[in-house]
Amino acid sequence: MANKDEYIQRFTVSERITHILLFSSLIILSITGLTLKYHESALAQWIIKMEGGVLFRGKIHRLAALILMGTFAYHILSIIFSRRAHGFFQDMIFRKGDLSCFAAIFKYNLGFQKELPAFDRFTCIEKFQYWAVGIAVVLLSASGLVLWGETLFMMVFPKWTIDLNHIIHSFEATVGFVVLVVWHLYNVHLNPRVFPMSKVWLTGKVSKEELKRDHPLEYERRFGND
Amino acid sequence: MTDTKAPSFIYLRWLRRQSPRRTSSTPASLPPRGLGLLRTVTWYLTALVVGAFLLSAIPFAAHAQERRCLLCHGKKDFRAKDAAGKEHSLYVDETIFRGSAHGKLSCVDCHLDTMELPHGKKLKQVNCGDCHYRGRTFGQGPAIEYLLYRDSVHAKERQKGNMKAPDCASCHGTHDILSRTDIHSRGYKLNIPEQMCGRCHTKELADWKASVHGPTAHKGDLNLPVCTNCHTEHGIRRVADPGSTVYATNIVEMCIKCHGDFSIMQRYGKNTEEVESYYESFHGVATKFGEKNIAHCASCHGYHLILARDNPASSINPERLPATCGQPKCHPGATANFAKGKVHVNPKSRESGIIYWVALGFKWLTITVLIVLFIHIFLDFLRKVQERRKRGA
Repeated sequence: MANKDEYIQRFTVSERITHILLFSSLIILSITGLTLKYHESALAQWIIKMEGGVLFRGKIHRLAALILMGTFAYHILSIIFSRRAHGFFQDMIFRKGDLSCFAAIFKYNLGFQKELPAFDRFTCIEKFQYWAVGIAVVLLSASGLVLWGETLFMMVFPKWTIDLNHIIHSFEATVGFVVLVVWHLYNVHLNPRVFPMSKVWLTGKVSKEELKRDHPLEYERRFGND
Repeated sequence: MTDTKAPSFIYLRWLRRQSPRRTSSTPASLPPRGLGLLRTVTWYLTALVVGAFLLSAIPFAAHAQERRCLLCHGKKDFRAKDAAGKEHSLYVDETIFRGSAHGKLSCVDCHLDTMELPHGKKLKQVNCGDCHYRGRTFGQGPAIEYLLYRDSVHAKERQKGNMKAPDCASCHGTHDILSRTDIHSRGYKLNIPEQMCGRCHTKELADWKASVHGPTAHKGDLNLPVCTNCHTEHGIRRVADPGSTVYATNIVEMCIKCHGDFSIMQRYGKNTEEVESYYESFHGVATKFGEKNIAHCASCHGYHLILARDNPASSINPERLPATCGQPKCHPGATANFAKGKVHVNPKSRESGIIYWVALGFKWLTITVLIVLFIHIFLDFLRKVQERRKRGA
């Protein structure tokens, strides 16, 4: 049996910093963005006041967007140039069994299935969230840049595309926000296995026991079947 | 004041005794007579003796005094030179005065500094506030207009010494003031622009007359906005004054008094969608949060010279829209693409086409994602709690 006190490195320092930059910029972006979208609510109006008015709120939003885009660029560059990040990315790619994995999790939770499917380095939920965030960042950065330089954009495109772009930016952000806040925060905070918080994002370490429970395939690959 | 039949009868008899040749229709034919202080005192004493019976006739008793004022002021050629040597007519047309809103008052009710007749020196300017601010036991009660005017741009200019700025009489007139409900009154809604404000603000008057809000476009319709609908009546402030009704963050409130009211817009075959979509847009939100360098209604549509979209001279004509959007403070470098597509877009309205459908699709996507996630999380949570209990046992 794996030792409870034996830890293995799951995330490097660079990965942890990337994560911190990602979530802190996303939190700022969500607050400054959603308050504009739901400007009619009293809470949003109070927050906008705290943010220094509706125009300064926009400046904060753009600054946070720059941090997010920088983080994203750093991640892409490290995937290209760093061996470890390249492996990390390859492990994130969806495999054959990942689609049925979602169904299996549902079945397991409903009690129709005794065992969870054996996960490798990343579960299908983790992969889904990684790609959801990745695609959302690409979409939101692109549509956000268009909104930022709308006069420039409208030199080529008619006004209605800006309006459409506006809708896509605000609604896509809302969907992304919902997925992250509801799903990811449940997985790493409210989840009874880790409540009140999984400390992996700070320490980067998981115990061998946790690794064996949550990622048995990876455990087997690294430590053999003991 | 209504019950003046009996006293008036007595009064007329008394008048006839005083001046047998005078007829009421030709006051100007009164022979000039010197009336000494003693006679005035006697008259007042008589009035006191009659007492309570005559009390209701005070305004009427005062008419007698008016006769004496009109001895001079009733003459059409009664003139005086002011300090600058300019001649002014001092004639008061009694018929017009009697027909005015103040027709039941006497001269000294307003010209309070008349101590004797004939008054030797020039009387002070009448202070309307003596009645209209403090109120009277009859007629006008205390009113706020005086205070509103005191803080207005007109009053402040006068305090600075700019005597071109209007006081009460400049707009309302003097002896010929009519009730605002009277169609011949300066204060009657349709007369305000030409007979009050437009006498000084000539360019604004011309712009307004040519605009969609002008009388030509409305043809006697009382729903049209005149100067006072946006600028208010007495408390007019500078546009740059945050207390002004037409200040950048307040002006939308003025426009939506009509344009946000469906029952009014309906009559002109319009709806209130422009207002709703404006408040949905970033311009609208920012204005609502008190940003003053953001487009409000007038930034694009203009102030006094608001023209219909299909008018080539209109600032919102598709040909001219890029220039309007491209104002240096707004979107410099705006191209013709700014005019391609609806300007007032409301994603909640079906007429917005693809924008409506994409917004609707996203809305349902968000709802579906939320439902699926909550089901998943609920089941997952139950399972993991179970698991924990098993381990504990």
